Amino acid sequence: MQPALLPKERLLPFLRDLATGRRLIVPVRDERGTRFGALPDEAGAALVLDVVNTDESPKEAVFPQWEPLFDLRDLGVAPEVEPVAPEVQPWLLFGVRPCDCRALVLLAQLFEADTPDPYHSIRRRAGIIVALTCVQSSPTCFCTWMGVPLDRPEGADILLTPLDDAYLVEALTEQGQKQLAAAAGHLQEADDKHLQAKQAALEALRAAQPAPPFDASDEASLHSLAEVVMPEEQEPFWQAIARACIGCGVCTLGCPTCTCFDVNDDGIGEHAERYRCWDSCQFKFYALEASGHDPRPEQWERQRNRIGHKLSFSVDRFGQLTCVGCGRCVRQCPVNIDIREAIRHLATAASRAKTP
Amino acid sequence: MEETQQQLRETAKRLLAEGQVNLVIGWREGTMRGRVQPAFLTQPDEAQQLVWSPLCNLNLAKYVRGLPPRAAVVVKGCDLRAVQVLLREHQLKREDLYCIGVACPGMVDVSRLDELTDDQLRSQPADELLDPHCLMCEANIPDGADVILGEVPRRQPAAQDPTLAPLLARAPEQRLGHFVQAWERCLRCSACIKSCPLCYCTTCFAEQIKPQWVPRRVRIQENQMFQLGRAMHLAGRCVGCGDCQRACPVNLPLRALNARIAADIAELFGRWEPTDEELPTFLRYEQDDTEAAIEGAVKAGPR
Repeated sequence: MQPALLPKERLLPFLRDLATGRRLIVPVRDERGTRFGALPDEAGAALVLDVVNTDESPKEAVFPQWEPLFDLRDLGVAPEVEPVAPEVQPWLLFGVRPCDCRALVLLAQLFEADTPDPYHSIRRRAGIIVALTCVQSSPTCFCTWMGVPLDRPEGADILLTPLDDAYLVEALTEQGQKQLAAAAGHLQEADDKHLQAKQAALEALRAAQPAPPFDASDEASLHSLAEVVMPEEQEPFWQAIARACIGCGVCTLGCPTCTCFDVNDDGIGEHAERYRCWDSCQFKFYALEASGHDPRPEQWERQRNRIGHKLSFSVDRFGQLTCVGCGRCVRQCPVNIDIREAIRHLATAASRAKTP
Repeated sequence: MEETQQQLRETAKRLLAEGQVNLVIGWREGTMRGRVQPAFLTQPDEAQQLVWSPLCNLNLAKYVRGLPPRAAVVVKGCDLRAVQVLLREHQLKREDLYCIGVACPGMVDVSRLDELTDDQLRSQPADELLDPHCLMCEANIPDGADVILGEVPRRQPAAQDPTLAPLLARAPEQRLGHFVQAWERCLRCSACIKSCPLCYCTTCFAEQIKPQWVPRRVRIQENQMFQLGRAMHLAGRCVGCGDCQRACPVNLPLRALNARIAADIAELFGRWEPTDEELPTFLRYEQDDTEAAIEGAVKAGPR
């Protein structure tokens, strides 16, 4: 499909038509901050287009904070176990930034690898993602370091790019193209100069980013970064950067690519429920084993684990970084622990390791 | 504040150089606008990193337990109050800690960071820019520190609590509704607990597995249990520093609850100061203690 134009004032009616038959989820602002949620009123007053990325990531769309897995009845030696299938209404997520688009792809990669996770699969398949191009960045953004593509966000079905008084609308997948038909009445023709305006905006954005400390597009560079996370000589660095860590877990719960969950049973009398809920590698009981052994008893080891997961273990397993540079962990850390400092340090250590 | 910052650096440098302490905990420049980060300094040269600005809201008392003697910590009034509560609860020995006091003019309200100019982030803040916690501060001068740097007027708490007043104007059931609505959005991360200088249980009731007091499901039932448990464990101990409120990623009204409980405790059991001879309210029992809370619950009947 040819790119089209959407006058800015028609955004809301466009989205409503686009989401026909689907639950519309958009960036909103309320007492809790900015996040993805339903539009609370007709006028769309709470719709947030002025922040680069929301305080809370969109991962709840495919990975809710908690969800029941099984119902258990006749508790005893042989309880009756009934799986609980998630009831999922088809959804359309609008306003997803390129960093979060990649995050959703990485979640799918993890949940669908080896044995697919049905709870994730059902949710993910029910969704359409409408990405929103970033034409500005916030001081904590570093997606360009992580190699996040800005002009064609991964996993998105439709892309909107804000130009002067209109959005450039591009279908990125077949499903996106089909969905656009429902809202075609709002669209006008776009031409080359609109595409050029998008490219110019992206060029300006890229130019304004701090220079990346390593080259995420170079496989060798990724692996040499991955290799410097665990060696013993880095321990003093991890101890120093995590010295102030209070172990609150905000960095992981807010992270769009953190996927850890805990499985719990809870019930009274004859009925119980097995559910899963987000967990955090920063928490004390996260890695504690039944024997009493904890493989990561110190907080610095838990921080190394978190950052190592983003920059090293995922490179070993999937050949990819799993940090998308959204900056939420930086922004929300109560004691200002900054993953960018770790990245800079590791990149320097990696380049030093390379030079004989 | 710049002059005090200079004195702070010199004091820290001297303490480290003379070997009086082997660690200084203070604040240094953060990695983003409007933020400082805790600094753990062991070398005299590093003292240059220390900053003193209206952004130094982080209560450093959360780092003083379990340190090898002898360490120094930079304390505002509320940091020192937290240290004093820890002392009364036998969590450390006074002689193991050197308290570098800084007379505090109040911290700026960082939730309004975007409105503040760079200049306002460096200089003594006007009252209208203050964090609500600081407006109600009763101890801006860290009396009892080993040294007190800087000079600012002794602060009187505002006549009306800016967070509580609008809430108290509502009917009691509406007040409950206000909190219940807020607790709905609690993420149960634990930032409120872990950022608190006075939450130091080896195992928090909220993270305990056997028995599991609070199931980890994130529903209003569990969230309410978690939030009320947290607040009640601080009853009569909370120093009102505001670290929990600022750490909360979903802006729960933690301060309102803390402040109200503090006021109730003071009214029912008398005000307790960490410098008082007697034990903290929570650790003390007297025959004629009021049963007002229980009586109130009986009168209100089951909900």
